[in-house]
Amino acid sequence: MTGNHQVGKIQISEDMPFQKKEWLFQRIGWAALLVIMALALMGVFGRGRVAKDSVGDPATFGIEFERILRHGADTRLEIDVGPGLQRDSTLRIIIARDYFEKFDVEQIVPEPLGSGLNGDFVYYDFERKDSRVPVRIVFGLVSDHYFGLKSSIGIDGATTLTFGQFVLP
Amino acid sequence: MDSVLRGAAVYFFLLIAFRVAGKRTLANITTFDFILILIISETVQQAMIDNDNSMTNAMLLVVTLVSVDMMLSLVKRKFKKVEQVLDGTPVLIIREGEMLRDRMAKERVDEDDILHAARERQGISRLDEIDYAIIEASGGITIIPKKK
Repeated sequence: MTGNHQVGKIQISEDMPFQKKEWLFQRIGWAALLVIMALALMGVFGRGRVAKDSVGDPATFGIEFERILRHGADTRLEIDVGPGLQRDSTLRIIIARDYFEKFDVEQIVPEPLGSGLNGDFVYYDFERKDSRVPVRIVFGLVSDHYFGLKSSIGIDGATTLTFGQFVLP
Repeated sequence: MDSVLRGAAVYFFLLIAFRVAGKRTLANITTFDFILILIISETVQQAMIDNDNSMTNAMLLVVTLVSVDMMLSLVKRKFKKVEQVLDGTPVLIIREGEMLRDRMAKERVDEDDILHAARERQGISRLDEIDYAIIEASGGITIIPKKK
């Protein structure tokens, strides 16, 4: 302790000027805890309204994602594809390889016909018998990365969308 | 590297969180306070371990936590101000039989808490038998009875 001194009949290392600062620090801390809880409920730390974002147009080609993620936690990438935008009866989704390397793929719905590498991109082929019907493809991912991420996702031979995410530790 | 950083980060985060919460939070006063400590330990466990359940990871975390604790205790010994900031200081709440109510309010302590400590530690049943009462840095209440 900083130093014992006499207070009445006892010796004690009380330090009232410091103690008053500590009480002030605690009260500021309590207010900060409430603010953190409010921000968390809004999704500022992931898993909430503020954390969700989208890019593109779901009627043609759009992606819904979480712009704020947490390391090791589940996240979803939802890709909406409108009529057309595919060859034959196969829809090929291409994803930047360095983005995918920062995730573990837990699930893909629907199951792809196959996947592979094409230069700097990973591709997934999905069966789509009727190209007039919109389709949604969901990737269930777990991030293995920290902090900033950028990605490009596209339909092979057509449009590509880019977006950024932030992974909290 | 990950394990060491996680362990150290959780240690310092808990240190700050419990300093903000105040002395009485860690004094294990009620069953629920005890349950709170148990729940907190379960909550941070997964954050420290991540998905690595290996013995190596567990040992690295223990080494990190013990080392950080040891280094802090050495720093506290050398720099008394650091000890004061990290551990806090005792606060007198009864002086020569007189209750210092503003300090009791700031420390979230009431007469029942003082009587509880008095009965438990000194077998004292009345407030007027207490000469001095101190909330220690650990959150416990020390009772010095009046000499008969």
